[in-house]
Amino acid sequence: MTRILRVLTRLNVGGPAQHAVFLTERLQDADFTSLLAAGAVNREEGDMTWLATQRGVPVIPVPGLRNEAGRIADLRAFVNLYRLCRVHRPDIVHCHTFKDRILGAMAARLAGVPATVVTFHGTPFRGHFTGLTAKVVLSADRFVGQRLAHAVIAISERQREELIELAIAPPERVHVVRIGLDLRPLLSAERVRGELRRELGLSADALLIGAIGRLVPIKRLDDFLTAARRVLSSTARIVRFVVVGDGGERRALERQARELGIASHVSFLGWRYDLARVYADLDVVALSSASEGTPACLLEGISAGVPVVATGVGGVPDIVEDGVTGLLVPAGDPGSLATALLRLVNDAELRRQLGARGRKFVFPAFDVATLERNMRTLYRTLVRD
Amino acid sequence: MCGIAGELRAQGAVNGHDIAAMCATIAHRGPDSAGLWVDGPIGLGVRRLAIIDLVTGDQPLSSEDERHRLVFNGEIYNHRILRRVLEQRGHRFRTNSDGEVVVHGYEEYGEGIAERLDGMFAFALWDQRSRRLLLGRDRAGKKPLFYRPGPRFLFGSEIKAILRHPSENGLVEPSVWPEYFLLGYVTGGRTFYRDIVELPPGHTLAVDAHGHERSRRYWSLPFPAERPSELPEGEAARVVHDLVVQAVEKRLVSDVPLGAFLSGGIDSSIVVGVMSRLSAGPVRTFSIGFAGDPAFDESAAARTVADHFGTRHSELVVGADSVADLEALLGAHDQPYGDSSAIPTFIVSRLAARDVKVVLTGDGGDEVFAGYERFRAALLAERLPMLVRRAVAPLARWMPAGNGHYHWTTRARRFLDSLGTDLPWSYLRWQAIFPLEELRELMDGADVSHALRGFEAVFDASRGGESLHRLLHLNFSTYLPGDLLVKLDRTTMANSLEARCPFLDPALIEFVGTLPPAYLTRGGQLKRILKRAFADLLPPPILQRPKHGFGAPLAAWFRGPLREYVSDLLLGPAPLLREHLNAALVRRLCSEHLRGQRDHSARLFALLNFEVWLRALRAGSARTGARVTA
Repeated sequence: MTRILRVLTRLNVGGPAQHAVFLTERLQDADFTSLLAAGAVNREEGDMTWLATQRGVPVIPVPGLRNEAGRIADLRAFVNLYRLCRVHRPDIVHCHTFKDRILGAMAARLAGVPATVVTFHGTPFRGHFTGLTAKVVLSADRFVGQRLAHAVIAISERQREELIELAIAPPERVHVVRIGLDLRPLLSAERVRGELRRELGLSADALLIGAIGRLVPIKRLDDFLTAARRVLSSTARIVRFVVVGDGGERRALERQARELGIASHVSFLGWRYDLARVYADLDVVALSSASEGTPACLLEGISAGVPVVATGVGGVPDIVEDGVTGLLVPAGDPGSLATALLRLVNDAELRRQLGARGRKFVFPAFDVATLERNMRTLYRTLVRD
Repeated sequence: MCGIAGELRAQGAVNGHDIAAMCATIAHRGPDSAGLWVDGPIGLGVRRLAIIDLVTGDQPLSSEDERHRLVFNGEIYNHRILRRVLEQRGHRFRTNSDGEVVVHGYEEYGEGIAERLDGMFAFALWDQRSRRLLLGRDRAGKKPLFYRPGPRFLFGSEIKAILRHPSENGLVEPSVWPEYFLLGYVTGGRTFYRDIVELPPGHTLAVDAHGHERSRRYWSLPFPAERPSELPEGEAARVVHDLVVQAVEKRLVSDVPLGAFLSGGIDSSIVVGVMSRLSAGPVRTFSIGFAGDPAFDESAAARTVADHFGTRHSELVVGADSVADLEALLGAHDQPYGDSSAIPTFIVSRLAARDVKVVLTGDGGDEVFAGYERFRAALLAERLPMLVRRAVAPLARWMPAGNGHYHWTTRARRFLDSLGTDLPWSYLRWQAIFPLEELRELMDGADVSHALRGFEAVFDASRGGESLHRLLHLNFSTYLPGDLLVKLDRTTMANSLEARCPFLDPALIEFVGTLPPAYLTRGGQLKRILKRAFADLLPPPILQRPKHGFGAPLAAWFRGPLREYVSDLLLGPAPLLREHLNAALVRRLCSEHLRGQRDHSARLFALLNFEVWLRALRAGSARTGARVTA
């Protein structure tokens, strides 16, 4: 039996938290047991602890572990992680985000844990940070990848190449394991079609374009709103925009919508737990991020049969083929985003085609069952070696 | 319904992986969610099947100040009343879960919370301040709870959870084998494992930080009653009626779909009838039939009842084509279990689990209202003068050996055979899988007298009571928790189904305990008062139907579709049991049965279980867990 201690800096809304919760839930049997440890969620962020509760995954708190820098808190988190490793004696410690990657991998090594695995859900040294911080982050990750981790997981082929190119880890230790989400409920999302529209008081002929994610700068939702403004001024059709999610940028974005004069056309819905209902009623999913790993909203949207328009960053091109399963636009270019959105607004047939084609590219490849299988295989190899 | 597990260490900290691994072994008991709480010396884990409070009922539950943590398996039927009382005393509840009354109830009443709970349960509560773990189990033993004493105290809903813990070496306890082959189960909370015991029904167990335990019996069957009832029989029947209705009503509380097992016998028919009266829509009922075997096939009777009450009835006709079924059943038990009626219960559970999450059953009716033929026979035998009995008993040997459990010659033989002894041995003869003489032979001539000790001790405890009451007490303390309820729990939980038994309601049991024995059985009629109480509810053919056990045509199966399986296991190249038992006797029993000379199906089933268990043990010890070597 192999014991996994999974560490996540915090269970904030997004792909990594879902990924970690699902893996912990599923790796509990005669071959594996899993524990999930995480720090506290920042008050401004969306908390995804509810998912862990709903899936029956207990979370062991790690006092001090948090996303923000802070020497004393970090030291505390390190000591607590070390203690967790000593008490629960895992065979493998698996870390998923930047802070826990650094502290968790060091603690695991010091505590004599036989194997450490780190997953790069995105590339934090690109986009998230700049200048000196980016350099520090990069060298910290290099230290983990080169010296501490027994396996480094990239979530796409493209990202693997990037990690190797940046010398984060030697090629033979970088594996590709795609992320996995619970996509099954979305495959039949059309069953709940109409409910969100009713809630928003929208007629059936109105087009609904949605952006889903944390409201943080890296998602560049300001570009989304700018593009929305252009779309609205260039079409006679009734188009409405929804922003699903929450975060520190919410106020600024709401202000921006007012300043652009589109406040009545944009609804900020906050976090929603009924994702199938949201996707069922969207005509287009838009993603404006400056940097991404494998964005959950695209996988979910495509599974629900919704066409997507996305910036071609990070792992996005792995799941969206421009013009075939969705439309790709350059990052930081609201003009192109607006043009692509307009193309879909004006072309129902194209929307239908893209929506219909996308599914088989994401399911079952990005389903949680596939993830589980791949991770089991990787762990088994590690344990054998 | 759920499964629980945990560890309390006198030294060192509990490893969360150990608790998670324990819980993984009982995931079938609670597929909906899991819970884990580990803090220094204590670790609690739970697998939950959500029945009441689907949203906030996740465990472990804790008190407001987080001083107490609870893992809980079962249902508390009086949780609403308890909750109101506790809220009036200032307790604030965080969830709508029925289990939370145990936490606040403990704060209010300490260990005394156990006797205030009306329901079926097994729980473990950790008191952070006094560093004490309290385990508790319901009165009848509906929900199981095993533990391993010591400085690393372990507990779990099933033995397999404890066996999974790395500190448990799973040493076996051969001294219980004779009792198993006598009764089909083991009494007194012992198990097939040396260090693992079962918390007896109606008990709590307090364990301190050093692993020292103290057990307390908070309930025992009120036979003989302190104050016998003087109610006339008609009055008493009315009270019985009302108590049964209340017992059913309490058990209809559920946030998920619910149904009933229906055998066509009196008990399950009453339960279904009362449910139909209390429910707005048709009740969902489930039964199984055995094609071409009228001795065991009750499906026609079940259909009569289903039609009578207009239920939505599902029936499955089964053959014995599936060895896989038998293997799955054997896997649901962690130790040999000799009652073959687990087979039909297992199959009907699987059938019901497709549509509902909870079923009501008629189990316990025979226990409470004296429904077994063995009661009647033992009492009848007792009436005859000893001289006559001694003289007649040897005739048993001259009787032709009937081929079939319900054949009149089989029954007559058994009766004659039982005449030669006193209570409770005449009663035991009806139940024994291997009678004493044969048991000695099976054990290669070893002394098997200790096999009777558990039985004797229980019977002695009721000294001075009426004979029927003493037999009921004996049956309630041995067969019910050791056989019937184990069967019901393992077979339903293996299918993630919860079973509720209205006839095991404490108020009902306590009332029946005050009645004169003649109200229960008189002139050879069993369950008199129950039949009288529900005479207007049941269709007459059901009321007059002779008693049927819930069995499977195992004898025929062993000669037919399971023949090869049985021969392979018991006669094949190397049965493991020959290292411990008289192999020649086993061979003889097998061949007599397979040739159709005698019906040894009960014995063969017990042997089969034993053999499968021995094989699993061997395979388990050979298996080595994968360890990281990097």
